[in-house]
Amino acid sequence: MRSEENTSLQRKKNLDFYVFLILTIVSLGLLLLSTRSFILNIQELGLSAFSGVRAGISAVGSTVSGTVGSIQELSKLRKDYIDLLKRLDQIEIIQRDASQIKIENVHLREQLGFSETIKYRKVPARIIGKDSDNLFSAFVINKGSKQGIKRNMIVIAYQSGMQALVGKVVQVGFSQSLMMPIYDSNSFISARFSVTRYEGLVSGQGNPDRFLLMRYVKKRAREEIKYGDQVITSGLGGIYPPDLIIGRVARIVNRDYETSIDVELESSVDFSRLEYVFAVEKESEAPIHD
Amino acid sequence: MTRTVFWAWALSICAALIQSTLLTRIAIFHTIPDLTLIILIYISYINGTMTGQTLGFISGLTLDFISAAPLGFNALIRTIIGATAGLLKGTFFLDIVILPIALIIVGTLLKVMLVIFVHFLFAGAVPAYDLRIPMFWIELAYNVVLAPFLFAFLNLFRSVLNPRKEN
Repeated sequence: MRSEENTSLQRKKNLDFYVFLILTIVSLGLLLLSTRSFILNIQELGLSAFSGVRAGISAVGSTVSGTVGSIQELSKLRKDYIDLLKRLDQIEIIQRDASQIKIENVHLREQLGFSETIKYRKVPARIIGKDSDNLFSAFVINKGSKQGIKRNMIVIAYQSGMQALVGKVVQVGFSQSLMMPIYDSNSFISARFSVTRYEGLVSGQGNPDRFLLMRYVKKRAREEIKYGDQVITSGLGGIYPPDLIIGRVARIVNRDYETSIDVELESSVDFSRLEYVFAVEKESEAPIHD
Repeated sequence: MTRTVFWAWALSICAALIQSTLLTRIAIFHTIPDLTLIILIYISYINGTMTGQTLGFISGLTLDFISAAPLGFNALIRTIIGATAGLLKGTFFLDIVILPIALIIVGTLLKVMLVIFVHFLFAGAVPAYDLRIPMFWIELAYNVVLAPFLFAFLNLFRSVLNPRKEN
């Protein structure tokens, strides 16, 4: 009787071990394949399946926090209204100047032969969540393949009157997508300084509170780069179109033993107050979806 | 076992969706607690290895679907954590504070070690925890604080989550 119990216990332990082995091997196999991007479409099906539930939870959360926030906002709004009236007067003056500059700019572009501008299709989207895993910094946006979002579409945002690069779409579900921000450690963008035109490769450090890192900038650029200089996309590599603002120079790291310098950049996007974004692609490359 | 795994999986998914939507609003240094890990450790500890590893695999795979993690990443890590927590079944009396905290500390540390191992195994294709920045420590603190409450909450559903004892 006792030996039968022991045998049964041993058999169960063996079964546990074999199942463990199979599950581990399957997981490792999937990981091996997915890190080489072979089966991402299966993953996108999964994302679609959970889209509705996540949207629902997000909506409930937004409603509750929105109601609480709106009470505080009412008193703030009155003060802001008076301030804005004052600013409006100033802006009217600036606008008159800007329209003159705009006309002048058009004339100059024509003279330089740059009159042809590339048109982009923009799909507005709202950020409804973030990655459930702290290790990954993806954002969830409320638009998917249904609205014409495609993988590798770039994502931009307007903040403080400026259009700046936010990231790119990495996974597309039916009505939701995952967007990898530029501060993700897997994000690499070919970039250049807007004034001096030196090139480099901008990568993230996995956290929005840390600077973006621009590497492989030629050493001779050290003399010409200044703090606050703007860095834009260079358009090389094909994913990111040229001339999109990435950030500004915050620190220059010059090591004697290296052949290039590293430049730390402050992103032009404040990710902590990012709510709405635009997924963008060249008009000519895509059919328009309503 | 199937019923237990199903309900535990459903709870894990709810937790994951709450993590990615509501909890991001209270994140400190962009860090949120890992509720799904706490659920996995609880279920594994009270049910044993087979339930633990099966739940770890299924819930991990689902997490991979809804996050930017490569497919198989969470499945692998959570299968191992589930199996390990299941091995400890019945070793200690499950009180309301100390054991939940101890289990979660060990589970979170095991997760970090496995993530670092996978990071090196796949030549940096997946990110790893950097112990010099606050993220890991905040996640650990969050998990430790929430563990007793979540264990107590899950205990309310013990009849569903632990219908019969595994041998």
